[in-house]
Amino acid sequence: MTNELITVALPKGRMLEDSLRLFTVIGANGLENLRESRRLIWEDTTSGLRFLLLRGVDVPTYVEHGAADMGIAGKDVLIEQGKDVYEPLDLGFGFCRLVVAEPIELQGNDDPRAWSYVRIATKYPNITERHFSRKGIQVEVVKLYGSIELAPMAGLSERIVDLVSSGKTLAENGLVEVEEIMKATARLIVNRASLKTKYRRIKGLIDRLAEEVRALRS
Amino acid sequence: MVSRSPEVQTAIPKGVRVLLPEETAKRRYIMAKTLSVFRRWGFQEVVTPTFEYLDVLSVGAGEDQQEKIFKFVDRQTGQLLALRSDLTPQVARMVATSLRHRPLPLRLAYAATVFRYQEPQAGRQREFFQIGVELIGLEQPEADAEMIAMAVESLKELGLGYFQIDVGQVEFFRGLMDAVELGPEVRRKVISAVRRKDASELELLFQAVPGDDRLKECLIALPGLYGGKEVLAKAEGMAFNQRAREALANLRQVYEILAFYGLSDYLIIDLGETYGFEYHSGVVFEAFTKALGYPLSGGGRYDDLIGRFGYPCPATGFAFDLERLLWALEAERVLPAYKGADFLIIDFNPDKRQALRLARLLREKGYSVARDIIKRDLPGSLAYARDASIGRAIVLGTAGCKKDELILKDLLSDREEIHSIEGFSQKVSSGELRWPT
Repeated sequence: MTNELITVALPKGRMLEDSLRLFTVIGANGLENLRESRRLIWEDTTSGLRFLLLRGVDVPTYVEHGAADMGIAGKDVLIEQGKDVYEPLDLGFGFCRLVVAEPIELQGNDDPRAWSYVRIATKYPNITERHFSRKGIQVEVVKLYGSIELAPMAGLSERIVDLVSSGKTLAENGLVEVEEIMKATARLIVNRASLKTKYRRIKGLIDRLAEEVRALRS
Repeated sequence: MVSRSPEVQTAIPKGVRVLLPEETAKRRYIMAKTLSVFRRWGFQEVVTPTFEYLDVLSVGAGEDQQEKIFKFVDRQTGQLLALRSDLTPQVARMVATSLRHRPLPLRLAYAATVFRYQEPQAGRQREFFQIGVELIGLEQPEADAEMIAMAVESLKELGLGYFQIDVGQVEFFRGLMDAVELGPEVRRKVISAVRRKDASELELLFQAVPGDDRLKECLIALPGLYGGKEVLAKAEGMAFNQRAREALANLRQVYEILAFYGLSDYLIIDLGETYGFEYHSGVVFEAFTKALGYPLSGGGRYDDLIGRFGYPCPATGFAFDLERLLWALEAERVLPAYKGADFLIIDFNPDKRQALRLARLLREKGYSVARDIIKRDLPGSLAYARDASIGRAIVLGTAGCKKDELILKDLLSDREEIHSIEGFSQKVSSGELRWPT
């Protein structure tokens, strides 16, 4: 059973480059096919790995149900979705922060400690609700799927909760950060049944990836 | 009154299912096979109430399980009632009350629906079926081994080709947690990180905590403590206190008994596994197959639960999830094909006595027999029989045979035989004519 395929779900977008590099370093071949063509699946028989290219928010779903044995997902997505998967490794890349932001003009006379009710547009309704309810603040969440920064300008909500990496997008849309909710990096996630039933191969892969991550860090 | 829309109401609430004959037959098959294994090991079936006082059902349920209980109010007393979300506390209560004076051990089995308020998803509805056992009154590792051996035998009996039993011991982790001093917040985070096998977070958490470095290293290594028998040896150096040492020795004993049964190939060990219910207190295990992302069964030792109902008594048990068994078996294509009734009697005679006699005779012999009561032509009746997956048709009073004869038609091969009704009846009675059911 050593040559059975292990299926790995990779997220499109900002974490893809690092993900491809990491798996290339540990011996996967031909991953440029996923970057350069419109391919969504790549099978590398030499390394016994099969890669699926998915939207980042779908990776935990594939892994939880065992449609993929393992995958790479942002910690933000994992906390938001609360899926039942193992997270054995912080991969270190894809760093970003989840923050509360508001228009500059609102900030002048605003004190976050005095909030009692806020209306927030976000892709992260669960994290947002948990964050504010922990502080005893009532929150009305407007769930959006993209272009969150537009919401205050268009009058949909006063504030937003969104990921920032450099803060440039916020500034371009006249927004400023008021609070950080969490920091997030890319995580390796593994299906529970796969870890048990294919543990030799999975454990080998986790160990190899951990070595690389450690080498990259130092 | 609920206002009614003029449309016909056919909606089904989230999380429950209707099962058609084909789907029901598969589940009955799995249930019957599994229960017959349980019976062969000496387990007796019991039935528990579908709803109970919430207080009974919440005994031994952790916070996250409590949240998933369906609750409603008893109109008379105003007390909170709940749909059963787990059979084990109910059986524990039964043991502590009505069964208390029977000699131990007790071997009890059940097959019942369970309700949990959770987001319905593939592999988990809000109402689902469990087939399980509880072995009560034994604290010996042989009892734990018996549970695991029965799980293996059930899965083999069902025809599952590949599966693994993941065995853990919850006291090992609890022992290590005793050895390190943590505030409640950090403690909660550590438990969550171990559960997710998040070694990176454990490392961060323990950086900030004072204490023995070796112990902290062990706790960080805990998520990786899974695999074959070698895990037991590796864990030896990590058993920091009495509690962890005893847990490890106990797990080793169970492993050795199972190896003696010849089952070690089915086992993997995971000492970092903290799943299961809050009431678990020793060896726990889950069954996994490659075809399915979640466990097929769960269970383990719960020595303190029955005591919470007033009768201290060690126990262990496990339950299969019927729906997941079905998925796994379907993925391996090992379920028998669906069959409707064995016979359909199609009778064109105005006098139905012969048809009724034949039906009674065949039923007495153990065959399932349906009669086509609707008036229609022969091709119409045969099409109906095929559609209902009926195996054979018996045709009386048709142009193709004489008045005292019948046509026996095999609907799979389309082969036809003509028999005299008298001769056919005799041969069925004597067993000379027989068919697989």
